[in-house]
Amino acid sequence: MRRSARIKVLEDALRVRLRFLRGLLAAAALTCLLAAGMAITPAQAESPKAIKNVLMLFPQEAPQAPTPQMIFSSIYSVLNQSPDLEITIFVENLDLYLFPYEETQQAIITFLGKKYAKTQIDLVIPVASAGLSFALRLREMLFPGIPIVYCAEALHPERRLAHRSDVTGTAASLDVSGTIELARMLRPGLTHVAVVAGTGVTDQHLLALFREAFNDFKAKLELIDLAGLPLDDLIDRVSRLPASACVIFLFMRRDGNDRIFPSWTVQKMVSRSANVPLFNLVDATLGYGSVGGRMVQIEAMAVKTGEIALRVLSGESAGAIEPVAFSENPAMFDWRELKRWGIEESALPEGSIVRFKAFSQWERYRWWVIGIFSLVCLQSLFLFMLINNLIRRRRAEEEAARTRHTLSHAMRISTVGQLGQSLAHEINQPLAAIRVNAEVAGKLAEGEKPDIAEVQAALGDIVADSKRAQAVIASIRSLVSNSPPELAWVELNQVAADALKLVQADAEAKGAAIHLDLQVGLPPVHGDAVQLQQVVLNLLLNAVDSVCDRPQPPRSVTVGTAREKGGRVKLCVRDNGPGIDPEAARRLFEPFFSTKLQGLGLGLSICRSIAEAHGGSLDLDAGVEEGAAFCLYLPAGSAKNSKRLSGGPNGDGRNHA
Amino acid sequence: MTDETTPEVIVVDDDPSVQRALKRLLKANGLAARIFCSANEFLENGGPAPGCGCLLLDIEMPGVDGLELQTRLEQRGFRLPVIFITGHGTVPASVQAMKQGAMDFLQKPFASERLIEIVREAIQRSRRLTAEQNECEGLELRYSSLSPRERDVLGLIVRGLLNKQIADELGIVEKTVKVHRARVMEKMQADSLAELVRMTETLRLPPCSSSIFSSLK
Repeated sequence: MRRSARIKVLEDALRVRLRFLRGLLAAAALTCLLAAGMAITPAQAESPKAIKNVLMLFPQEAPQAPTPQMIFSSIYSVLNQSPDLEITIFVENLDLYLFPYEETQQAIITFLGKKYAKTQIDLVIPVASAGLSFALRLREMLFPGIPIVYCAEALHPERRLAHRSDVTGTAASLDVSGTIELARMLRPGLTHVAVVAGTGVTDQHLLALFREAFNDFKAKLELIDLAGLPLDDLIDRVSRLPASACVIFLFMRRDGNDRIFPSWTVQKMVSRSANVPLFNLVDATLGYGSVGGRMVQIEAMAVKTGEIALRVLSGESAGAIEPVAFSENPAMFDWRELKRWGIEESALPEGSIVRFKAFSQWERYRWWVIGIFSLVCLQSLFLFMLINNLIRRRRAEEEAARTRHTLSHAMRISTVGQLGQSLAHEINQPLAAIRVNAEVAGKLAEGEKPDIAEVQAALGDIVADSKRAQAVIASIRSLVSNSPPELAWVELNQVAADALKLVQADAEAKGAAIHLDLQVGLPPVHGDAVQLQQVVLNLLLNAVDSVCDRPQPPRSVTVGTAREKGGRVKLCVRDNGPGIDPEAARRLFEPFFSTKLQGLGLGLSICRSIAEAHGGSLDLDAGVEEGAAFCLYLPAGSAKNSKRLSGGPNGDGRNHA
Repeated sequence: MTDETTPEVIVVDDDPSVQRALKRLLKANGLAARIFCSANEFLENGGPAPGCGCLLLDIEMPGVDGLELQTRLEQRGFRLPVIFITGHGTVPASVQAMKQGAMDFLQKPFASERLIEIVREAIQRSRRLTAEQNECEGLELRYSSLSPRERDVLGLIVRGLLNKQIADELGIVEKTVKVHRARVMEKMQADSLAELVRMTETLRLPPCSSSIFSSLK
């Protein structure tokens, strides 16, 4: 069907072309008239393409059947490629076999004579032997002296190509024996050959050729003669053939009931119904249900015919050109039918031509698919790696945060241990006051004239002191608690003051004085108050330990805060201890490095990781003359945050505990 | 009650809560208190005034701590009873405090009755010390009014020598010895020989062992 669609398109194109050419001719005629009284125009000086008219004669089935279509399109494409000639092809379908009457042929010749009365035909291309016979008559009666280039004349082994004046062309012969041999080769154990042919002229002609050839196989094969059956019977018979048979389809224009069909559609139907493979003899009808056969090369012949036609049109004498015989019929196959009957390509004879190989999507697009798939894979891999990286990084960060949290918690607990004395002092102070006040109040109340005002004052103090004790305990709890970090806006000064409160008593007990040097109006920092306090506490305790190594007072530690360049704030803890030697300073922040005998060496590394988790840093200030100074740098919040901190509920409660 | 009977208790503690509580406690027990926030403040105000009963010192204070304050007061010759109170209650600190002659050592939080008890005891001791001091000073004054010869006679009297023996010892007549003896008894305001002997013993012992007694052997 696709083929017939294509030929229609070609015909349409031809018609358009003809119309165009006719217009061109008219224009040329006009130009000639105009140029009559004038000098020769330069356009005429250039040699335009010579215009040639070719008449193609198809004896039957044109134009929709595969064979005429293949012949026409092959010849057309060759003629169309001529660089020098503008060739117009006229096509006549004669249907000689459907109407094999002398009067009819005479009428057609008369009709054609009238039809082409005003058209100069330069060459006739008849198809098949019948076409050639008709063309010779036509030339005799209408186009005397016109060269004839025939296509696909039947070549009989016993008959040499006839030489006639100004006639040449291409010829071929059916290879029935070769095809039967092929069937035997591909179907080992072949016992029967069913031959299909119609009752038409060609049908019978081919059948005669077949029978003649089959004589050689009579000893080996049995013939099932399906020729001349009505179509319905034929379809029925081919579906019930012995399994060791094959079908050879010759031609079927007319069935036993005198119904006329396009042969190729019958071939298709027979193939579809047959229970054994079908072979045929002409390459043009390969693809219509045939497995294959030793094929008449219609396509190659048509191309050759076209080439000869061009030579003749260009001026060569047709009689001088030797006709070309295509006597070697190659084995050709339809890949789809091979599949259908389970015939392996490897079983085919050498030099076989396999057509209609439906490359599977995979075969057709293999490299594209592999390429694109690889690309997608590669891309996916990259994506996967990136995502995996990201996930792993996030996990590692989370893990690090957890570890930092756990470690810092452990460190806070140990810090509370270190602060034991100091904390005891902080709690004992209010407790002592509470006890004294309570006892005094009790005593005062006992008297005859109790001093109510004094009792009330004592009770008031008790309340205040119990609150104070509670606050101390709360601050210890916040240090010891393992609650997750809470981000809030934190005043660094407050952190310093709170840390100092916890360390103060301890420092005093060790003879160290801690001074605060806090800058007023410091912007807040965003972070976890407990962790920041922990950093300051750690620095303070280190500093106190350090100044205790100093043999003589004053043993002083200073906590200072200041606004830094680049939107940062810093908190420095200085001491006037013995300082840190350069070797130790280099390794100070490494985990498990400690200058203290009992030190685990985690304090500063944890503090630094806390600082870094807050987007800041913790460094040893190298520029001090005496002792050591550690500075914590943190990104500063804006003044707006500061206001919110002091005025709103966002202020961190724990901070003031 | 007069200042004579209720000497002031000096409290040095940096914690305002404790200050107020102690002041309230002492007042409720009829004791006057003077509160100082730090050792320096106390020392800058001249240290213990006459009539001070005892010192209540917090050990842990910024700057000069309780123990150091005690040392400095000793160096200045003050001998008031010192009671330490501490929030830490660490053993080394208490040992050092007691070694330095602290009267007692209280750990916060403490029973107020116990504190009052100790304070009263300290005041008693303080009073006794004051009385001894006063007696010393009186005796020294009397002793200083004696002439050299009378001092010689006094020295021999308290050694239990009779007038005749004294006269022989000093190479003077017995009658002159009698006159000197009467003068000594009068100047020293002693009613009996026994009292005179007790007076010279007191003068010889601390806190009266002043240089004046160097001759008294």
